[in-house]
Amino acid sequence: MAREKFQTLTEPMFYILLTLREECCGTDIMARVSALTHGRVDLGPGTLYNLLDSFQQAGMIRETSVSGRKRSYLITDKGRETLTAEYRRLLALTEDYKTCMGEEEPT
Amino acid sequence: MKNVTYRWESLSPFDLRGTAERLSAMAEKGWRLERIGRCFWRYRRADPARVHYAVTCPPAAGEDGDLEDRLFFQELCAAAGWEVVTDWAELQIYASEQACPTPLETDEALLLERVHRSMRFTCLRDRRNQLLCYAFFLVLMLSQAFRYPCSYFFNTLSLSLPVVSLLSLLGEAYAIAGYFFWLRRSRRSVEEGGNLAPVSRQYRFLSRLSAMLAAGLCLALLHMLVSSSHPSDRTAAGALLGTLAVAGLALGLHRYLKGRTMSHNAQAVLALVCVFILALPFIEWDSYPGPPPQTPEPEADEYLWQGQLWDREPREIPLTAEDLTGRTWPHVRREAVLRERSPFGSRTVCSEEARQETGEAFSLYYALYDVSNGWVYGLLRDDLLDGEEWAPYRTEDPAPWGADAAYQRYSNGRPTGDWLICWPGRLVELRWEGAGQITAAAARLAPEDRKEETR
Repeated sequence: MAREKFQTLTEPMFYILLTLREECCGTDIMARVSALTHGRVDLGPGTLYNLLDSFQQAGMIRETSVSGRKRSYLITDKGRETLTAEYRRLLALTEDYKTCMGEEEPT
Repeated sequence: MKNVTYRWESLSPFDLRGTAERLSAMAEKGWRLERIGRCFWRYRRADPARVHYAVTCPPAAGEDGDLEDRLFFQELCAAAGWEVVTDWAELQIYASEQACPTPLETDEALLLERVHRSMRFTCLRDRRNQLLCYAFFLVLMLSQAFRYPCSYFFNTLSLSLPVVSLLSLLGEAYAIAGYFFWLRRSRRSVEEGGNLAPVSRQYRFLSRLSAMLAAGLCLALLHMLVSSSHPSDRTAAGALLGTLAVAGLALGLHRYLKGRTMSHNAQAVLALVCVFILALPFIEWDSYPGPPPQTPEPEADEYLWQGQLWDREPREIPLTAEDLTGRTWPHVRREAVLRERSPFGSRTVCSEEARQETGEAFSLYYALYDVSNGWVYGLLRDDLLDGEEWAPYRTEDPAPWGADAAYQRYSNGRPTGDWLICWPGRLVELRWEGAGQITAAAARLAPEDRKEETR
C-alpha cells in the first residue's frame, strides 16, 4: 500500500525543513545541508526544486521573498509539526534500538 | 576539419543514465552535444574532456508552467555546477565539468515519479496516438484490399504499405511495453533503495534495429518509386510526397503553435483546420478543370487525320482489330500499358481505335490480369463479376474460348461486347464495338498452355 505523503521524511526532506527554520534561498539550502551533514547528504538541485515545490503545496513552507531568480523560504507551523513528528519517530527508533541492543556501540 | 557533426542516436527519453553515459563518452572523444533535433543530434568539436551529463525533468514552461519556475530551477542547477545544454522534448540535458559534482537528482523515487509523469503526458501519449493511427491505417488498407483487390494486390506499393504499417504498429507497441517493463523494474529497484533500472541492452538493440528497419523501408520505397516506370507508382509517389509535404507543414505549424498562449484543444483544432486546408490541393487535384482543349499537335510518330492523332507505325499488342475482324484498318491508334505489377501478378491494359477511309470505326479494349495466386485469382474474378447492376454478367459457354469460364455482359436484356474470360492464371476483360471473331480473340489472348485448345 502506498505511504501517505510526508508521513515519514526522507533525509533530504528532513534537512530541508531543518534548514528552513531560518529564512533561506535555494542555493543556501544546498550549502547549509552539506555543511550540517559534513557532506554526508548531497542535495541535488533537481531534488531540491521538487521538494520545495511539494512542501509549498502541502503548506509546510512558504515563500518569503522573490528577488530576480532568487527565492527565499521559511518553515510554517505545519512544517514544524511534521519535522517534530519525524524527530520523535527517529527518537523512538533510537530508543527501540537501545532497548534491544543495550548501550553497546554498533560495530 | 569539420567542427560540427550530426548523429542519429537511438536513445529513449527514459534512458537517463544511458543518455548521460553516451554524452560523456562523446565529450571524451572531443564532441560536445549542442542541440537535439527531430532526427539528429548536433555535436560541436571541443577539446576532449571528462564532462558529466545529467538528464532531468525540469518544471514545465509555457501553457501549464511558468517560465520563472524554469529559470529558478536553472539557477539552482547552476549553483551546483550544472549548466543547461539543451532541451529534449519535455526533458532537459545538463552538463558539469566539475571533477565530482553533486548529482542533479539525489532522490530516485522523486525522479522516477517525475519521469513517469513527463512520459505519460508526452512520449506515451504520442506513441499511443501513433499506435492508434497505424492500427487505423492497417484496418483501412486491409478493407481496401478486399474491396478493390485489382488495384491493391497488383501494386507493390499498395502491398508494402500494410507491411510498413504493421511493422510500425508492432514497433510502437514494443516501445510502450518496453517503457512499462522499465518502470516496473525501476519501481522495484527504488523501493529497495537502489537507483532507476538501466534500460536493457535488448531494448536498446531492438530500438536501433526498428529505426534502421524503418529507414531501410523508406529508402526501399523511395528507390522503388524513383526507378518505377509504372504510372500507378508515380501517382502513388506523388500522393506520398504530398502527404509528406502536408505532414511537414503540420509539424511546423505545431511547433509554431506550441509557443503560443493557447489551450491544447484550441491548438489541436487549429492544427486540424490548417492541415485540412493545406491538404485540399492534393485531395482535389484530379477535379481541377484543366486548360481548355486545343487541337492536338502530332509527334514525330503520329499524324493528324479527321481531327484525331493516329500512329504511323502502330505498336505490337496481343490482339488487334485486324485479328478480330480479319480486315485491314488503314488508320490505327494503339496503347499498351503495364498498369500494375506485384508478386501476385500484373495488369496490362491495351486499347485500339481503328478507322476505315470511309469513316467506319472499330474500337477495342482489353485488360489482361495474370495472377499467380489462386486465392487472389478468386477474389479478383468475383470483384470483376460484381459489376454494375444495370448491366450484369451472364455465364456463357466457355468452349469457344477454350477457357474455364466465360461471361458476357447484358444491358437491358441484350448482349453487349463486354466479356470476362477466365483461363487458369489469366483473366481477361474484353470489350469491342463491331463484328469480331471469338476464336481469333481466344487464340491471341489465352495463356500459352491453353492456346492449343482454342484452335
